[in-house]
Amino acid sequence: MKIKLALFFGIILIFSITIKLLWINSGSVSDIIDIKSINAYSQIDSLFYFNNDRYFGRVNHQNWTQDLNTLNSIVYKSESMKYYAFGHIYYNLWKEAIAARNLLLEIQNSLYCNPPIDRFYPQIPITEDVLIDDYNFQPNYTSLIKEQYSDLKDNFNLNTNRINKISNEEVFFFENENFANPRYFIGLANQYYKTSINQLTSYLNYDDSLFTIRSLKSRVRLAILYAINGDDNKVIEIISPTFYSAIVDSLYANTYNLKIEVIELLPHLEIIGYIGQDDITEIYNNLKYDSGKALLLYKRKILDLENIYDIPLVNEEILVNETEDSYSKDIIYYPEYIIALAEILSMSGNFSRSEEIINHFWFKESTPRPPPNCENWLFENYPEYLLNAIRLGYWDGARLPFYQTKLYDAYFENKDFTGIRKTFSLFVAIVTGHIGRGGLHND
Amino acid sequence: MKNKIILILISALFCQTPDYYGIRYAENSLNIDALDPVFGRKTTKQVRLGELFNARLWRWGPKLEKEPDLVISLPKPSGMGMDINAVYAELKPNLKWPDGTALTVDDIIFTLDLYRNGDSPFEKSIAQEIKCESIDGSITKFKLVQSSNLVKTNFFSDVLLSIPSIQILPKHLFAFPEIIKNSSYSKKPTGAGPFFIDEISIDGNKKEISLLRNEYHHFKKPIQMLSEVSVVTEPLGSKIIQGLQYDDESSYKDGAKYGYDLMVVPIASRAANSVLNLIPHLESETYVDNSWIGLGFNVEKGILQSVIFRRLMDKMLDNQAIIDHNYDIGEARTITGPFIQDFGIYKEELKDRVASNSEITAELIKDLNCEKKSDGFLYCLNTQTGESEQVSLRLIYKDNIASHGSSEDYALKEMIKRFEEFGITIISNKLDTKVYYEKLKDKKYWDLLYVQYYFDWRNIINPLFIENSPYNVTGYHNEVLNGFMNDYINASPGPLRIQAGENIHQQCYDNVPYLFLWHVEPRSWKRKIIRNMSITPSYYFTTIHDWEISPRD
Repeated sequence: MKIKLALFFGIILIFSITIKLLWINSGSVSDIIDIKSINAYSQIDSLFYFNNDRYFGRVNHQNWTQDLNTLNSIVYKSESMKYYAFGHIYYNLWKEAIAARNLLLEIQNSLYCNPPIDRFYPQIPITEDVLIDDYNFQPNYTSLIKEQYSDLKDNFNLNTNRINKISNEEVFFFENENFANPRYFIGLANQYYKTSINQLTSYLNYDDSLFTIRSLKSRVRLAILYAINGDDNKVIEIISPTFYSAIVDSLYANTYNLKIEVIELLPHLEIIGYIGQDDITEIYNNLKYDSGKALLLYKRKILDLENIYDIPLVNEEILVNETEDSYSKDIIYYPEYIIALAEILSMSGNFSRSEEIINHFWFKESTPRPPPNCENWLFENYPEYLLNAIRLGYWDGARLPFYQTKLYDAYFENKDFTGIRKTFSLFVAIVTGHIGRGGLHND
Repeated sequence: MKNKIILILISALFCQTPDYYGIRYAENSLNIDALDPVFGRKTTKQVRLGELFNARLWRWGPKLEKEPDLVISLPKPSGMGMDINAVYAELKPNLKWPDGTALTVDDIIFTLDLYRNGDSPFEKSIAQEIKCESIDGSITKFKLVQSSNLVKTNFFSDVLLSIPSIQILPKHLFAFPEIIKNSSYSKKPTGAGPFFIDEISIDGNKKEISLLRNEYHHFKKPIQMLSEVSVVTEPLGSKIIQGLQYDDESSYKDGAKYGYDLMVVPIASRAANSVLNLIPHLESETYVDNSWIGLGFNVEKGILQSVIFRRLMDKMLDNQAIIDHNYDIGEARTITGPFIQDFGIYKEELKDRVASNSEITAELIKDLNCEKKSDGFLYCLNTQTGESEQVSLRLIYKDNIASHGSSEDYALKEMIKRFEEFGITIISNKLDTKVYYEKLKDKKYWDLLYVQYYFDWRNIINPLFIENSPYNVTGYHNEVLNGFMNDYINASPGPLRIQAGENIHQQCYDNVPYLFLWHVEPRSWKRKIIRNMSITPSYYFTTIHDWEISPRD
């Protein structure tokens, strides 16, 4: 009888989620650009909807800072809509800020201190006397970078804020245009983190329906925010057993919403003992795509969870090389899988392979244009993805100019990113500045 | 009977076409009278060709790593018992030139001496700093030492970074090095690269260079190594596109080559790309180059001497709209000056001078003492004659810049239409390359140029702005800009060079010798049968030694 009831509710849940997801996807970004008031949630959702830019024409959609300005200038029909909008925009901004901090630190470490591989020697690291003479560096700058890099490099993948260690506000530059302060992004991330928690909590206080997609997504994100800060009780409070079933069911539903976040949350739930290896194994076996299965395992690995030995592993090589079977219908897991795999390789010191995987994805021969202008993939948070991809892919010097342009296109109007733009430009100019013959051109 | 069968078998054996492991690509033009690296014409296509037959001690790999070419391994900083002002290296054993002559340290010494006394400024500046000495008379072990007595703290770094620009030359082929210019060597140079020039044929404007595999080349030969590269001139982009469409089998038949296997110049024609996209034997790849498209002004002639008028013409155009109308998403980007942002040097604060509304342009026109009269034409005051004259400008361009149906072709038409809406008459002349260069010299003939420039990654653009330089076609130059150019060339890559580059960018933006319009994202096409292909960072070709190709018979 219990099983029948569970099945019945399961079917109802899946049906309800599917309907909601289909409904949510019907919005379009044009709905929000020209309006001055928000009257329906779908208008907000259209702003956050997965992106591959084929809908929008330019790379600037999912420009979270610009979107935040848009949301700030709009009148909301209800308070709950406002909480919902800000909860999610700040969540996206938080992830972007963490990725920005990681990229900046990574590039600074390679430029000024200890590049993890010697591919661009002797251009980098810049020697101490040049740093003092040409860059006006103070002697303590490099030790500051070394200290922060060693503190964070093993946690680049964890989205951790180092919340308790850093003050809220930081100045972006240290009295020197050549030296941006990565702690600035930690300050930003903290601010976004706290605001996202507050807004999502307020939204959920209004939302009395547990199983709308908006409620599910908001709860999963809130749980992740608490989990990364080790606030286990809050996570357990948010994830009721019924809620857990609903989000796991969403993994098998024929839609894209929630999937990435649920995969990200599951290992956290395992860490706090909310679920066990058996649950993970069951989910793993039921996941439709190999890239989703592999992503789940990598997310566990990144959190240092014990291997599950009786799981039949997916073939990594086939996945990376993207045979028709493995990726043709998966447009959401695969990019995340690539980042997670590259991250793991980078953590183990295999920077060359990590870079190869990222750049194969980005420039693969099968697609004439790299993301975001290709039509193969959807990105839930493209800015975060771009920043992470650059951090893991910048060791292919021939692709540096491409990354430089992408960074410029995405952030040329964003003052928070001035330091990243300048630091990366410097890196590109130094590494590529000797290539060529000089004075050469066509006529 | 038995003899007959043997004869048939033998003739069948000899008549069977062997598998073909070659490729063929096209350049829109080539100056093949001066291909040598010492005095040869330094253009991207010449250097691209040179990449096929030249070798260096070490070179830039496809990911910008330095990789050994003629040497066994990359040099390391001097150790104990070694001269700290020297860089030690050793040639690979048994290196040979394509004619079988041994390649030794003598060739390295000779090469640096030749460049030092040559007139190629870039290589000369390197050779003035570095000379080569054999170690204990060895033919493979050598050290690179400072030529001058100036003590340099970063000599090791300088050597490591500059040697990839020095192509090693065969001493035994230079009986009289001082007359290499216009010599037979210059017309058919030899290097130690994976190929050697076998034959050059010229039939009117059609030129064809056949390069064969250098059997003495030191890299391990892959199983299906390219054995031949054929380079031809084809001014029409549409013909190159057509050539790519031959299927693999019919592109080579009975010893004759048809069509092309590789496209080394980017195409941005929507129509062409969509056609090529459907061809199953082709695939495309993105790569990075350093190029821009623009309008050049004859700043020494008539109304175009006025910088305000040049800016006005810029304001008449909405670059982004032109790109949106004529290129696919992501194919082209607007620019504000000669440095595109890809290489880390650009003036961040500058904005593209977007087309202003009609009131602002009307005001500018008035300020310039110009007027759009009732006949629909724009008239401006000629300060020399004191009379109002109709503004009519002659625009010239090479036929390969905007071949029929290309995005550049449509974009130009749109720009002309836009100028005409403002009352400016544009007389547009599409010219054959040879005629174009003749007309270019006649500064009274033309007012505007439609140009596309490719630079290498160092982005040294001063030939375009130096007084009396043959490349300074607009005639624009000034002392301030020269100063920035010198700062840029003399500074190492870093903040000082970036600053100098940004100053150049700003100067060009303010004074508008060119309308810097847009950069086109390059896209290359090739046959799928070509494998392991890496596209070079700066000249397109790089590690060609490990390219493989499935044979055609």
